[in-house]
Amino acid sequence: MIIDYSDISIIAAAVLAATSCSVLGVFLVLRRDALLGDAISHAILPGLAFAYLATQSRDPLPMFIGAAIFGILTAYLAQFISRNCSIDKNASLGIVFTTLFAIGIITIRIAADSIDLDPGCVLYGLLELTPIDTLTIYDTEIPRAIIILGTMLLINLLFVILFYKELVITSFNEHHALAIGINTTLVHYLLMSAVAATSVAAFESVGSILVVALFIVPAATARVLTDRLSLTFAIAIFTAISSSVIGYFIAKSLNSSVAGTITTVSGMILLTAVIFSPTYGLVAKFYKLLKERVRIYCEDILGLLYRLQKEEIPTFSPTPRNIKRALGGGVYYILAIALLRLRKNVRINRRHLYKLTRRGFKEASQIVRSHRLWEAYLAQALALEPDHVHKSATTLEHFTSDQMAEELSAELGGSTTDPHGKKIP
Amino acid sequence: MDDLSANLFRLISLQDSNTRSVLLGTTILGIASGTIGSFSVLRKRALIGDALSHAALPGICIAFILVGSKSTNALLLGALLATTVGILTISLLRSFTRIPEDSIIGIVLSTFFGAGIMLSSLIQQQGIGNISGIETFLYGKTAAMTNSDVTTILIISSITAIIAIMLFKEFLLLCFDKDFAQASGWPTTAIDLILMALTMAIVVVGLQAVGVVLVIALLITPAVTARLWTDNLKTMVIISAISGGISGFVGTIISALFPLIPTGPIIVIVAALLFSLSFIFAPSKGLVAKLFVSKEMILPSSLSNQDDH
Repeated sequence: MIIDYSDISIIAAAVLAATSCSVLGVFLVLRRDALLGDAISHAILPGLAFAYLATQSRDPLPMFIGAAIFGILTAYLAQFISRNCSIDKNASLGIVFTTLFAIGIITIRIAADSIDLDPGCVLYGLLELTPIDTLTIYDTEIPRAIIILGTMLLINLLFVILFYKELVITSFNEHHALAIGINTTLVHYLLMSAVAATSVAAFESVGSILVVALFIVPAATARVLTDRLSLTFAIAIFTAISSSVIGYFIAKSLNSSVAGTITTVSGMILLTAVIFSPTYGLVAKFYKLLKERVRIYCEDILGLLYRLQKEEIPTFSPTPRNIKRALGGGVYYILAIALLRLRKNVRINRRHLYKLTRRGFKEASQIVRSHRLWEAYLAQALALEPDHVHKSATTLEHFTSDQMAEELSAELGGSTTDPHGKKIP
Repeated sequence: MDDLSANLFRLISLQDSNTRSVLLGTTILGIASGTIGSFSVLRKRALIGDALSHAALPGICIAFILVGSKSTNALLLGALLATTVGILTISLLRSFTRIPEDSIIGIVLSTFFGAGIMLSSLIQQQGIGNISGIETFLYGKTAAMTNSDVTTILIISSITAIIAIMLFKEFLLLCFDKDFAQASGWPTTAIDLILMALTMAIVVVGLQAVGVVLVIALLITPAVTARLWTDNLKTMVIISAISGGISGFVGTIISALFPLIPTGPIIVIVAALLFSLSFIFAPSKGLVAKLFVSKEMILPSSLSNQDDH
């Protein structure tokens, strides 16, 4: 694939938009204000229509001003309504942006003769046209989208750096911020203005749907991967940039909408993070759970074999089938037996019965010891009836460290039998 | 002007056969969405409808690719399947990740819709067909609704509203004290899913009437309007249904009188006007009432200050 000037300018525009949005998006996700980007990018439609009607042209400056006014108005009205209506802020946001969007569509429809504005292009954007629409600065032709988005990125970076402390404190704990004298309302409206300005700057080139995605998806990806704020920024920006680049090339090879494809790719990256994140991913969580279940199953097998070997229960012979019947079969049984044999805790004798090895016997006695210590302790300290302590001890035995067992033993004052009269190993 | 009032009379008295079925459809849709909306607003799920309406797009596109024609029912089925996947995604992300709920809504909204845009651009350039069938789902096509469209709206809206009324007690518990409901042994997860499924049904039928963005206004605005008038859930559902029905009815009449005004947006504006009036004038919760209350509050305290001196 040959990469030419137009590829580079489109990618540059997408990357600039992605970075501007994701930097603010980190705060939007933290503050539970994620849907403001969505609301604002729809609510600016009447601003664009009125600016067009007033100037009879597509001159970007009046349109930008019109849109910015309506963007900030949205944030303000939503706040005002939710404060006075005892409803949550998303419901008031929903009222405000749908109403403004409806006003925008009606205005465009009524004045269709004089407004050449397609609501569709607000949604999809015209990223593909980046290299054609240029401005000449000092004899060099630079795509307009790159100038606008580059300026926006600089403003956003400056805003985040200058107000970093205030933004962080208000996002994590608004009451604390108020108590130490930060003007939280001012910070809120500054952030909202930045979001509004970014939506307006970005929607024309990348479309409002991509703006919404870029505000939320990279920041959410970072949230799934890390707890550290500095890393959150790095991951969000990295995700946003890689979605833009990968998305562009996929779109180019499929000949599909660039904005739509970048959005889809960012969704895929988030999905991958949700599944494979080392700390909070589904695989990691599932593995942790599985490991825990198998460990408990192993310990149950060891305890069972210990009791059989030590206390001679003649009616029960430790065949695989009987063990499965006693402890439940399935995947956990297979994994637990495999693990125990791998660790040489258990062997199978010639008559196909499970036996503890010497090492296994040592491990098993620890578990039975924990179990009986707990039974004795519960009966003594909590004065429970002897026939009530078995169930709790069965749970507690799996979460008892050696040190804890020693302390239990000390608490019991050298008692060597459990409430059922069995010997504590 | 006489012409206009004669026209208005003809429309309101249901003599115009074209408008009659559309009026019926939008009014019933307004009533049903007002009913369901009350619960989803109180459950703080107002914008879930937004995610679901956008999530429908890829389903519509895939149905379009598979069926090829503009069969409305096939497209509706596609929308239904895609929104179901949307609901599942929202539930899974909510239970298995620590992403905040509003971000999850934004994620499903943007990525599903983005995938839909990608698919529709592929449809367009492959020349599989004219995507105007898809476009009507984006912006609604109220004025062009056929009798069978109206029948679909009638059936689904009625079923949805009836289920909501039958499950009134369950929804009430869910909206006000989910933990209590769970502790008392109610299957809260199932009830929650039913509420989401009802929202989904309204969104899917509302899509063709008012379009992807404005359908959530039908769910939210009447419900919040009703919330301003009462603290009783039963009254709130009734007021919300009435205000939704009025919005649908009046909006359709206005757009029938002035052909330039599109129906979907004007329905939303009527709903917003009802809300604004309530916001200002509602007893005890309106701005005017609050103004009086706060004056009463200030007066005694200033008097007591004087007493201290």
